[in-house]
Amino acid sequence: MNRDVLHLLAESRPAHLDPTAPVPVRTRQAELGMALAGARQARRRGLRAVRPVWAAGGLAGVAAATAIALAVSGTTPRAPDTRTASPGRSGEVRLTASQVFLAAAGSSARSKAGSGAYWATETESAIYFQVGTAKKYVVADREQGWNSTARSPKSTSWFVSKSLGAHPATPADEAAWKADGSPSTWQAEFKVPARPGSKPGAAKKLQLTTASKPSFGNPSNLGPYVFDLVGKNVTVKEVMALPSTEKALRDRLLQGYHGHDTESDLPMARDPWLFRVTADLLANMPVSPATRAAAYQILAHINGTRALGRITDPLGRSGEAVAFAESDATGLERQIVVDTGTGLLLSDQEAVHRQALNYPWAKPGTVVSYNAVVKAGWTDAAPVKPEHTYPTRG
Amino acid sequence: MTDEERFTAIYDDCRQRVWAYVTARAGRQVADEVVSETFAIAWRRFADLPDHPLPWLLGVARNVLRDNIRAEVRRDSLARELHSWRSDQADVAEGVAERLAVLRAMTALSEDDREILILVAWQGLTPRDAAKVLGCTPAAVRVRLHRARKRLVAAVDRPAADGVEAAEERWRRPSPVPAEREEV
Repeated sequence: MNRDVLHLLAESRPAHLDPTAPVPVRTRQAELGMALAGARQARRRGLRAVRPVWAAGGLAGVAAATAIALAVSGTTPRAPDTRTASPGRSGEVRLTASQVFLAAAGSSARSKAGSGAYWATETESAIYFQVGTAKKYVVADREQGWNSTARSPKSTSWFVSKSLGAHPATPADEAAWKADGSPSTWQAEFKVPARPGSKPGAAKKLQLTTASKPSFGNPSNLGPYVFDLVGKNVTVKEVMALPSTEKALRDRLLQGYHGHDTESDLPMARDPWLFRVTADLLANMPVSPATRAAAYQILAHINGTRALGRITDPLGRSGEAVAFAESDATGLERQIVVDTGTGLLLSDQEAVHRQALNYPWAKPGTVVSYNAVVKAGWTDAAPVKPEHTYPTRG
Repeated sequence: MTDEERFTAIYDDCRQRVWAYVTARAGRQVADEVVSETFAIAWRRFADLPDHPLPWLLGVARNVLRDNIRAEVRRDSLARELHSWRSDQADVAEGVAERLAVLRAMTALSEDDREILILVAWQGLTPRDAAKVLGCTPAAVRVRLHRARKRLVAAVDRPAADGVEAAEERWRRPSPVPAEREEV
């Protein structure tokens, strides 16, 4: 035993501790982004415990979103009168959550698979913060994202992000901002809930500014791997070959379920997990029409969803919204907005469900962050490239 | 090549090594956070990064693990990790019993002994590189390795002598504080 014990020990190393294993694509994107983006990304990091922005966005930054904003008065998508959901117009038949998803499944199944060298998505996301000294008001810190995923494993895929700066969320907030002296920077606080390794209740300070920044980004593929599907790096080809029936797709996705959150080791029940990864797939990945339909069928058969009716999103589009309370820990619920006519997932957002840790100012139903898909599809156009490969160091 | 590209290349080379080191020492629950902070520090201190950056990165990760992670969080996370070493090996390939025995023996060692063995046997570091991680001399590494190896052999040879409970008690016990490297 003594003779070879170190050799034997080396051979006994548990497989997950292999130091030469590849880095998961999404982890790489998130960690490199955080390290290189400095202060800007510190904000994302603070948010991570609540909901990683890159979970939906991440590699593809795409999840759709739509704040259930603009009640009926949708004047401008940028300055909704309210960020709470509004009931559908009177006289309109309200679909149940399952009906919404099954309608989207039907439209998806009838859609055509696109062609082109890149799966290109453009997204807009925002997080709302309450700021102000003399008077409190809410600002939306917005970001635009572009992802170009090469169909060919030999081509480079690109991830690009641009901060659009923070601005008052509604006309009322704008008035309060002016009364406050129209500041161009704010310090916002973000409390991180207790999670492994963090001190509970510690507030991260975030610097917000009205100024937009040059876009930054980087190649997002790791060799042929371009997406993270339930914890494994996958190629475009694998994504396009995903199962086309509800049961087979559910089984395939659940292979990646190990009782915890997709981004951390916080425990997460099966249904919320399945809801999240299925919505992520619909928002981000170039799956076949049949797979899209199967994914919507999975959502239709998850318990605990609730229809919010027809709403207008921050981009001014009309869609059916469905809410799903992921967990009680954050006091937030996940909402997705679907265009049932085309089967497109327009938006993916968080709204206050009960009392939410970081949003004491927000009434239940208020959307506090969103990620909206501006467009998504196959194209032969060249990828959107960043103005900087990375933000300036500092 | 820009600094950003060089940093990305270093990240791609070293990230999973750093993660495997942190996971082996403190479990998966804390590994992502420590690794992420380690590379954030590495970028801020990019100018200080040596040409052969792995030992430096492991040293930073070691300090982050010590300073940023609460003891009870780390203990729980590590308990799960070590539990997986004792139970994850269900297959029956040749030599499995022997490998399982040595892995079980690892879980019975002190933190310090386990660390030096992780660096040398699982990360493949030379004593010189391990010394950089630990902030001591290569000679001290050799002494530490020699002792850890002896205790590993002893733990393999008499696994039933004290059993898992005693083993758990042993790794829960705080190990003597080694000479630490300079703060980074």
